[in-house]
Amino acid sequence: MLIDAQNLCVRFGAKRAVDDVCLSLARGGRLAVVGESGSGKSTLGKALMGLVARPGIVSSERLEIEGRDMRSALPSQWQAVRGRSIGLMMQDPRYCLNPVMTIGRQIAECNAPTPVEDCLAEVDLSPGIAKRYPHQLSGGQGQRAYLAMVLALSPQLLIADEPTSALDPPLALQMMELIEKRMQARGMALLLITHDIDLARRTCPRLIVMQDGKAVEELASGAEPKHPFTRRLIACVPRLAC
Amino acid sequence: MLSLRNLSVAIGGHRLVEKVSFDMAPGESLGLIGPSGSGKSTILRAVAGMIDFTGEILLMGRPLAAWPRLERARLLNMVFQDPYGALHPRHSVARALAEPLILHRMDDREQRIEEALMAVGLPLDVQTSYPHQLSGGQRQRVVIARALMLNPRLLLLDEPTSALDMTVQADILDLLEGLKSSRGLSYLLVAHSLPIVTRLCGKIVRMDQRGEPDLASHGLLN
Repeated sequence: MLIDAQNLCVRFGAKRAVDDVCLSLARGGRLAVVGESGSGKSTLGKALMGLVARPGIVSSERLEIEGRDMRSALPSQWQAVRGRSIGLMMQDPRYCLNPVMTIGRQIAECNAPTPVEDCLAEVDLSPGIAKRYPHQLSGGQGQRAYLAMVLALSPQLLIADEPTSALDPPLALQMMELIEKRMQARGMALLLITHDIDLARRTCPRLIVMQDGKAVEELASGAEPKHPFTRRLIACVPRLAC
Repeated sequence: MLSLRNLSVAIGGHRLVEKVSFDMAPGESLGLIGPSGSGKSTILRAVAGMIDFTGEILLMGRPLAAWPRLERARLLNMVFQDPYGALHPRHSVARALAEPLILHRMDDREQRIEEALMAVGLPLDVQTSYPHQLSGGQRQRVVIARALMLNPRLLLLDEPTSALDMTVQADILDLLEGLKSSRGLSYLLVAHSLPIVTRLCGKIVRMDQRGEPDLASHGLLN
């Protein structure tokens, strides 16, 4: 098992941002975590990477990453997991890329064995992008450049936190196709964190639906939802009215 | 209600919108869709009188420039994408809603504010709240209420739901649909999502990357 988290909690004072969530993902597997703003889905992703900062407190009955118990892991052990075992892709490349460093230097900073040009080719970007700064890229190019950095270290799992919500629909579709292509080529697992239940059902065979920090339902993508909140999320997806 | 004749917008030598023409009858709504950078929001800003343009914009058959500013502001109003950025953080809801009434020297402010809050489904006690005390959906309802204060005929909606959660988006779409039929409003709506546009608008203009309208889709969808 790549990730095995049982009864995972993240507390900020009296508030439980993540409340007793169980999650497991095999190598090459795909799982989506769906919920609205404040449901705890991004905090869950951060907890799986040891990125919850104080005053947040993470606790769990079990938290294993590639078979290693991470419950009392030292910062250096988390550092070893981040990037190499788990790569994190966030919503908006503008906040993830260093604005005063060229894309090529940022990729080279990962100390990956792959040349920068090959990293860019992996995400369908031309070698010329290496000389550009983040503000010189479109939103879609920025997101690809960031994905190139994440993939440079060949992680076993990609946590994609709203990877397409800052992009317009055609670019979002291209980005998801690119992620799927890279996943298949590398046998990489995907944990997709999204508010878009339609995207989650199209991309992953299994979903966890979160509300107020709790996993209210775990279901197969094609299964009929039982929880009223899951049903409401599905009903709220806009459909063509013509 | 609104006619655009060969509307073009260029800023700093860069052409953002190229020869866009369409007509909207009173009560009719039109959706502008297209990729980022195709000039959708620029068209809205031109109609709102916020930027210079070439070509012609006719509001109720009269050129936009011929309308006195305050009179024009009573006829059309704008709802922006991000309610966080559209409300003054240190003004209460009551103060935000009173702003257009003060500018237009209108009386019965308390009554008008209460009516607007009821129209958008907000409780009256929200008046004393500040934007940071409201949820995203409540904030967008306040922005819509403010746009309705002067009883406009046309609302310019720039991605009014894209900053909101799915369930909140569904509520705001229900609200906009209800207001459209109860007040006979016209919407000029910018959105990325075709399903949202078809829900609110009978007409669609699809913009391409060059800021030009795709005339093939310029027609009735339903």
